[in-house]
Amino acid sequence: MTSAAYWWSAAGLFLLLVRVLQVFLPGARGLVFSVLGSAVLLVIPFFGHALRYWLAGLTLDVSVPLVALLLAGILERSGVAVVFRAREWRAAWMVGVVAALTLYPSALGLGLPNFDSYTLGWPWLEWRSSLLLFGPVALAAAFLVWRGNRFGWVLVVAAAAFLLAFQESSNFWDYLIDPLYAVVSLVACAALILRRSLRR
Amino acid sequence: MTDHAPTKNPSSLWRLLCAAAAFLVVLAPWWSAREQSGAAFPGFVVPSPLPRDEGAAFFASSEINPDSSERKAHSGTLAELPDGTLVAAWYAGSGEGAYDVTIQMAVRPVDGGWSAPRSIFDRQTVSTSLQRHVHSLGNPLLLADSQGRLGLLFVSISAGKWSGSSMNLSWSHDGGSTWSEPEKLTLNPLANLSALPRNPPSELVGGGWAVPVYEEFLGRFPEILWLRPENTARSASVSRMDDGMSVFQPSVVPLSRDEALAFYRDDSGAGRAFFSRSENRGKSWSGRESTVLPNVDSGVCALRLPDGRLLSAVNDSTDRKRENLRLALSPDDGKSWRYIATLAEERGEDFSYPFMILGRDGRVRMVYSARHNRVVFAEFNMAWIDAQAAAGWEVRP
Repeated sequence: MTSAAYWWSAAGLFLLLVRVLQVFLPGARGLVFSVLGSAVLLVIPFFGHALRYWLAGLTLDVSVPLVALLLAGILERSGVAVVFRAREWRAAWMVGVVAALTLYPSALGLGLPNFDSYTLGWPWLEWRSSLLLFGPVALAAAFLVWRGNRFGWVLVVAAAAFLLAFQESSNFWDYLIDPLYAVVSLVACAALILRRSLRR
Repeated sequence: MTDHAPTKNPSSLWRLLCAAAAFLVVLAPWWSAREQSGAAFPGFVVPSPLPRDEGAAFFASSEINPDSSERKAHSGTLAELPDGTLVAAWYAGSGEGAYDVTIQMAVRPVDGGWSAPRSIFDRQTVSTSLQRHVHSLGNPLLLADSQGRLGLLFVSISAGKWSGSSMNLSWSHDGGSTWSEPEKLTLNPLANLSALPRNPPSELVGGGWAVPVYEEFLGRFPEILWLRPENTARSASVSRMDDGMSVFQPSVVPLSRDEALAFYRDDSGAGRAFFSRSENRGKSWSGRESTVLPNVDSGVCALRLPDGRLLSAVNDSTDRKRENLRLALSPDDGKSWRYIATLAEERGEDFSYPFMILGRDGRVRMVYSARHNRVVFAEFNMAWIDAQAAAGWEVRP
């Protein structure tokens, strides 16, 4: 594991723990306790290993959007700053849902013969086909940036992180989405749709 | 979620420039990969003619780990170094997925016998290298390139059993005496779970490997793991060989630079091994077709002989028992088969997971699991195969 990938993985897990602790510890003071608590939880050994070892064993490598959402959520929950407005959150959930539905079914063996959308994330493998992934992401990023939606820049950072090999994975999909972001997006989108239909 | 953060209203031109910049940055990694893409499917290395042993009929067989005290020794793999030295590896421990499983290795010099097996990886050393919890190890696969470099793919299990495994790659530059720290390959987006190697790899033109692998998380299906010439974890990628979840554990047999056959272990209940064909260097594969070879959820391995016939090793059984292991020969690229020999047969025992390679001297060499905790090595030549074929019997559908 390169040092960049190591620190990316550790930082992702750290932010995840901070955000979970913040559920019980809101506000600026809560942020301080959550940060300290997460740091302690990550290094103290459970059954012979630090928690980081156990979580990394499950390969919880977080994607760039999830890191951005965790950071934004942590700052908002602690009252420090509002980084993402409602439209940024909506864009994040929609990108998450589209990516999840495009990626996971075929990665699990469903879908077309001889086709796995995950292979599109290795541009050197099938360069022309991989434009089916990079093209829509580039268009989505450009559209969101043009509309003044900050989530567009998150997609740009994901591409830059991929270019700089920040994660252990060499597949662009892993910089865009991870299972946790996918599940949260699906739940958030379902809640959004439900809320709108109830309003009608 | 709030929508009341203060916002400025930048000019349309500025927003357009930012959007264009965003578009270009996201496309940059795609554009930068265009030169590497030409070598994505370079084709299979197939020596022409294939080496051939013209000597008298020869067959020999022996256990590589006769003194093993482990309850389980399984999933043997074999590779030949440029000087003819053979290297075998397998996993052994108290059971599949157990804490004490280690990857073991033995070496046989050209004019000698097998060395005593030694452990080359255990879960603690792999856990330290990978910076994560590792519960157990399994499924080693050796790769020996023409420069004498020896690679080892194996899985580490962090949770559950095989479906919770991920693949790792290590290299040795001294014939297996020392190994580099293993690197984890990321081959699956769902927490990188469940990719496993099993059958012999194929060397690619210009370096690199096509390694038949399979997934078994929510369903089993076959894939090819592509290792580019730099052969690092970050150079790895996979492509699908078959739709659905009916077959897995592919055994790839290159026929030429462009063409290859693949034989599969059945997971559909059909009771037969399946095969498919690629005519574009492994990039895509035809729809699977049933062979006449029996296969009830057991490993199958095939290779091409110097005269063009195909040799396969299978369990001839109508149930899940693996009480025998037979060799079968096909003169027509897998359409029809004749059994030529029974390598092992004993009621209540288990003989499985054959792994065959064609040596540089033209002899076929193989390893297989026997009686749950033994790894058997067998070698034979074309004359022996021909003699056996004369007394062979038809494999009936």
